[in-house]
Amino acid sequence: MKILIRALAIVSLLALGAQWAIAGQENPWATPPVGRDYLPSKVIFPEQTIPLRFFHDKHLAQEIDCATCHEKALDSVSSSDQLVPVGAPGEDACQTCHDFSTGAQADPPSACETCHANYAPVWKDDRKKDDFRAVNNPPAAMILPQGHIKMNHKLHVDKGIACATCHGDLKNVQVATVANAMPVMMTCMECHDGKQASDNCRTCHIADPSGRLVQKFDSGVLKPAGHFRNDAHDDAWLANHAMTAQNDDRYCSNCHEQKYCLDCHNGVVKPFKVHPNNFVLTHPVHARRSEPSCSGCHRAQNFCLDCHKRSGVASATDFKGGGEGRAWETSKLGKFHPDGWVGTIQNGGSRGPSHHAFQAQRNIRACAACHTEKTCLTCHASGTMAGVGINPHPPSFGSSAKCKSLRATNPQMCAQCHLPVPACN
Amino acid sequence: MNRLVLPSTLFTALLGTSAAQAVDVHITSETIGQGYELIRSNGDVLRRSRLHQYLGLNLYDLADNGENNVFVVSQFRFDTDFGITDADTAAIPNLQNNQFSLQYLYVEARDLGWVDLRVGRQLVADDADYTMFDGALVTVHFPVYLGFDVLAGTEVKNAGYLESISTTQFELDGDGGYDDQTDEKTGIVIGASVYSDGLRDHHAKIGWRRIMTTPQTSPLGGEQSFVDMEKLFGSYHVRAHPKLHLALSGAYDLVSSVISDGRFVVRVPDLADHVDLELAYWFFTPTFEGSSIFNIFQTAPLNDVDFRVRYRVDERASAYLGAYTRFFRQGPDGNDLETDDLITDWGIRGGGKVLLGDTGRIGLDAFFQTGYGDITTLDLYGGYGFLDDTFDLSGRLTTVLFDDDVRDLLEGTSVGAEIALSYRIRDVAKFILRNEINSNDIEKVQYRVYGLVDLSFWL
Repeated sequence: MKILIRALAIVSLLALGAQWAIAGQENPWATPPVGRDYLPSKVIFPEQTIPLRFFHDKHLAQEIDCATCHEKALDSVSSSDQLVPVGAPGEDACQTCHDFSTGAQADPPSACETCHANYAPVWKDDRKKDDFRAVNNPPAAMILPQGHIKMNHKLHVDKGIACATCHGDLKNVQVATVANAMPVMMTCMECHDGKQASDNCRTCHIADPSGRLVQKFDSGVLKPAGHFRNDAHDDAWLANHAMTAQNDDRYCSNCHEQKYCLDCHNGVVKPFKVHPNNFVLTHPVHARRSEPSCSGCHRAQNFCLDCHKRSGVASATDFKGGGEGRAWETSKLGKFHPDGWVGTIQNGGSRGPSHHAFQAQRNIRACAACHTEKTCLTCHASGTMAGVGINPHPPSFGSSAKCKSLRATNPQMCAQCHLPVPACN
Repeated sequence: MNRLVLPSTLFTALLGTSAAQAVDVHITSETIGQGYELIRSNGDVLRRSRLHQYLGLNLYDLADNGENNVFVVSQFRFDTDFGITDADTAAIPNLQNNQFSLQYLYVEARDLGWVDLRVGRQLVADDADYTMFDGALVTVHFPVYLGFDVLAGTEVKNAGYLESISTTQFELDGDGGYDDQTDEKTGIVIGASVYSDGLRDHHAKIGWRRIMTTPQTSPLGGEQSFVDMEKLFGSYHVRAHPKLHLALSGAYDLVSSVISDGRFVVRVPDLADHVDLELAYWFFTPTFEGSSIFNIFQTAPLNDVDFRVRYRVDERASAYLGAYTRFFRQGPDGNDLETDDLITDWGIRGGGKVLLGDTGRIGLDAFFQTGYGDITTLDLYGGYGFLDDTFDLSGRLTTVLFDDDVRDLLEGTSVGAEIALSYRIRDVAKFILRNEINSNDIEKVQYRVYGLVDLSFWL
């Protein structure tokens, strides 16, 4: 336990250290996001640099239409289009209202530092100061990497979808950022439901020729964050993915081919994350617990038996090719089953963890990992079989729904002991 | 990426066109070699030297419309085990070496009006079970947020030959191994399901599946199709609130008349922007193939409750702490002897991981379980990518303290170390060499060497 506590403490300290280390500078005019449940993916929208002072709120208060500055958005069909006024060409849009020659006292104020905060231009000697581009020190550039998403603004504009539907109301926003103005997928899905608009992932996400989504970008690896279908690919995903996949394996196939599932689930190669070192030695302790998840990759009678037979753990007499005897009895670990394992209760056997009835009721899958039904029939068979006739049925089995359904669906099972097959009560 | 013009009678027939089709061809190859030692129960060393060769042949965009709504995918596998000896094959009839198997091969057509179609060998995985079959899966998307699946085919069987690397791992337990000739007969798979389609915050599914034999002579008289598996199943996920997700699933085994599986998960993400909470319940009753007498024994269900809380410092660092407990109530036996003790198993887990720089990572997982024997696992892992992430060096140090409750002598401490080096050439090739060294106080030092060559080509 002490080791565990120390380890957790170390991990927590490392985590905190990493947080401090990556803390970066932020634009003081970037309005913090308000009322958002979560922020857009940094993989889809890579980190931007916006060294500007800007006031969407003031522009909107003047009832300036979005297209006045973002004119290209009306005809844009690709996310590679630059829709924000950037650089010298972009500033032409600003000049529609801001006459850069009029300075800070004008209305609206139009000095360089009006938008380029804390910027002091150093004019070239042979240029006039009203030639606002004649500087030796151009202001810090905006860096707006292309989003890793398909986007056809024109299509949306033509459908009459307002900018604010996707980008939110910016009337209280100064500098718009990914965090406060770019849509999250939940917003898109309000219309992209397969009925109003396509809900095919490839409609918006970049796909490779197989149709599956591209997941690796310079900005990181795209993976679900848990907003849909409980799909968070986090540290618990290994344990949690089953429910999501079983609920809808098509959902997974948007990114993964069937090979991806089989690579782990066909049990050929040991996944080290699942089975750490020396798992072969320690697996009996796990198997004893009857972990339900084992059967996701391993079926006892077509996985465990092979190894158990070859390694001398399984009872050789159960198999056609038997004759090796009970090899485990010579093991340095002693007999596999403890003393009293098969003693009958009537003869004083104890119905506890050391008795096979107890363990079989709790974890019969472990029995099937070494034994076929023949082992059980040795004692439990009756009638035409040469068993001892110890009744294996639970109380009131003959009148149970289980008896009726087993008999009706597959009476071969009953016939292993009972011929003719009797009726249930 | 070039487009390959592939004149193909098959594809043109499929598409109903006479023109040659341009398709995207994707070929994958994965070669896995591993060598390791096992200690037989009598102390002998069992050496295993396995080679697995996968080959994937995939043809996309057969309709040549850029939508990629018609494609063929396949995966073949060849396995060999150089460690199999004549003694092994003599003792285990049907144990074979050098086996070739088909993992899957199907043609899929999507968005044919309301219909999707998949034909060939395929795997379905849902709350009924994993089922690999040769046949057809038809999906109909209705314009009312509803979809409908129907499938039919023959079960892929190959698992009754004691091959741990057989084609399918998904054949039901209770098939009796290779001794049970009855269960080697072809299984017919039929099933259907209805599900919600296009609802952003909800996804529900209800289904039914049956695997049965062709008509056989029945001990009840006449002929009968014996049912190997038949289940009703369903699942539902709802995003009730951005910070509250609920998921529910279950399956009812119609052969044994028991609830074979039930799960309920509550997830509260991003609490205070940094904390995730998860609570899960799992009810599980093992069931077997219909012909198996394992079905007639009383098998008590397990009830697992699992809780986990995660603290995300940021996108690069997180830590978690969790606990679980398992309840099992021993029922009366055939002699009506009451032994209704409530038995519990429980455990705690914790850990975390941190990303270091652009390509480094380090993490720790710790897990302690007790109840049916104690086992404590400390797993420290990490890695670093260098030379623009072309090379990646990773390692793992694992310590396991174990003490089996039933088998007195099965206790000890195992220490294992693993180191792996991988080399990647863009998305075309990947090479991995991994070495695992284990030592424990029961067996001598063991080695496992693992090598992988992964190739992926678009033509």
